[in-house]
Amino acid sequence: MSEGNGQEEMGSIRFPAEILSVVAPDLSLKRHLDLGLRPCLRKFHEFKNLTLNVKSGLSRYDGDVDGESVTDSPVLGSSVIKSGNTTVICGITGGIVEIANVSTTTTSDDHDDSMEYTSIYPVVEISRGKLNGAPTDEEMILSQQLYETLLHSKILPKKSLIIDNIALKTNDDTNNNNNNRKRYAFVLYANIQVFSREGPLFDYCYGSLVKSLQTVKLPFIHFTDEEFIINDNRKNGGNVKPEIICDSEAYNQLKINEENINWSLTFGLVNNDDGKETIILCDLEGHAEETCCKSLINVIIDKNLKMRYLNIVGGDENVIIDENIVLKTVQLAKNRVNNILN
Amino acid sequence: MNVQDRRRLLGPANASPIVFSDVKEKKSKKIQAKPDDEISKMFINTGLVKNCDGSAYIEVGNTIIQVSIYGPRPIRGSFIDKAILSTECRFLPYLSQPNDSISRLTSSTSLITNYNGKLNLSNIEQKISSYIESCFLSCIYLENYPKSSIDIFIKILSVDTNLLNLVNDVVHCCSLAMVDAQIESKDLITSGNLRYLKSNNHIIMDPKCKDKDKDITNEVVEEGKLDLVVSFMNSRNDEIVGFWCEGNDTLEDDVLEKLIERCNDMSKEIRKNINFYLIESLE
Repeated sequence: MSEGNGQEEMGSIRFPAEILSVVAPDLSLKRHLDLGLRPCLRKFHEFKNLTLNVKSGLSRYDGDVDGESVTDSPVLGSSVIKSGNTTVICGITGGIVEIANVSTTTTSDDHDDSMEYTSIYPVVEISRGKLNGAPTDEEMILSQQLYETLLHSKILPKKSLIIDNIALKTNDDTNNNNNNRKRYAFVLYANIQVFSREGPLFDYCYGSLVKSLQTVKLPFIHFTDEEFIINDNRKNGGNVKPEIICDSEAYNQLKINEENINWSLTFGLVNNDDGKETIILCDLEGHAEETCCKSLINVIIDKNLKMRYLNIVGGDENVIIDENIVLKTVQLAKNRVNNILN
Repeated sequence: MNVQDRRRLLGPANASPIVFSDVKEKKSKKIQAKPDDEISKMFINTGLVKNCDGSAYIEVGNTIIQVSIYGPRPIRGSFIDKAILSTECRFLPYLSQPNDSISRLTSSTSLITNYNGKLNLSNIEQKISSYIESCFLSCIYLENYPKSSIDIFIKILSVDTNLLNLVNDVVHCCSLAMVDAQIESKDLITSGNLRYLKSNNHIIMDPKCKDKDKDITNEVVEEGKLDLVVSFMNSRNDEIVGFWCEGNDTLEDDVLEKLIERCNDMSKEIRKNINFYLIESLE
């Protein structure tokens, strides 16, 4: 028992900045904003460093340019993006699917219909110490968003994936009627690994997906005849007789609409309590910013600096989103995209 | 759409896999420059991943490994007097795993179309996980962390070596991550990896060559070849915490003794390097 006046003075508790941002994110954010800084110590309109690497060594054809040979990797295109602490690794693999036998000669002019474009099937995996199991909400939402954004960006035309130059290993080349022959197309899958999750993930994942897509090379295809059996121990340990096999070395570069290549940017909007001014924050980072910025603007800008997509979420009596804010955000996005893509 | 897994976008169910014809042998061959009694150079780094308690990254040749440790973190449920250790090793889904053909022979897995659909750990991943777990179980002071769990996540980003050589590198990477996570341990674990060729009584230290699938599965079986990984706590009287031996020949006592000794030498050599790195990183 301590004898005393019973009124011990309570000392103030002092937290380091990183702990305060978890305990009281709003307070941490406000204090930083008052100083004209952000909790990550960047300026309001300052973006994070971004490093793009499309020669990551993951792809089958990565060594081909250096005079080395192809590897036995099934990856057709890949990229690695590093921004701040976050690293995103994207690898694109493929499959072959039988398609309906429609006439290849299109009579009318191609009017840009989304039916003529396709997308990649992405699966995002964010490493955050979770044991094997169902994907998290964030992973599922990101994957779906990536699929849809790429589809509507009209980057990947369906006809680029159609296999029309199949080398036939048969004797009769005389009648070349395609009528009763099956037609095939490639289908692309992406696996996106995120390490050290921080900041606007959609932007990085979408960026890595688009950059990987630009590197995709599709292998040459030929049918196999009856005698041709390949010994594929790596895959299933036995002799398999696939209908179609791909050439180990020859490839075609995937044709994509380079004009439609675009980049996504997400901005956070906060209000500094002192005034009515709404502050735009680029590349949200850290716990304080991500939890306190409920108002977000997502902009997608293409190579020619035209806006392709705009999504505004939030806004209330404190965070007023007016025309000026939107225009300023789009301008910031254009400047940034100009630096990245051109 | 794939109906088996509605949580992932796996694409059309009727897609068939891309099967490549064999890469021409003469081109795929790479020259091995390393002498047999030398240890490969490695690049190590710690603390790269920020949202975990400890992480390490290691690059040896074209093999890249990343380890994140989460813990000690509290667990729900009834009280336990010491920490639970769990380990999960995963390759990037599209990497071909060493000795893959053996594991596939025993399972009924057919050709994979979409690598994203692989959900469970493969046999190789499970084997590596359990080896690492058993090594670190005897090393960490688990009783110092009641009612908590320590989770080790190993991610193989690229692999260009045989299985036991990969395990050797994984052990070092985990040890470094363990230091980065500041988990109380008896010692740092390092290991040695050898290949013993019985015919000419030759020992290859740190063998980097890839095993050809054909050698293991059927036709050509090389004569007397043994691969060995032995993990030690070198500062605690060279206690052995892990032992993994694979091969197609018998192992005599005197040879085994000699091999363990050589592994220990290699382990000590690597320990020196890791010690040097850790001291440097403190400054």
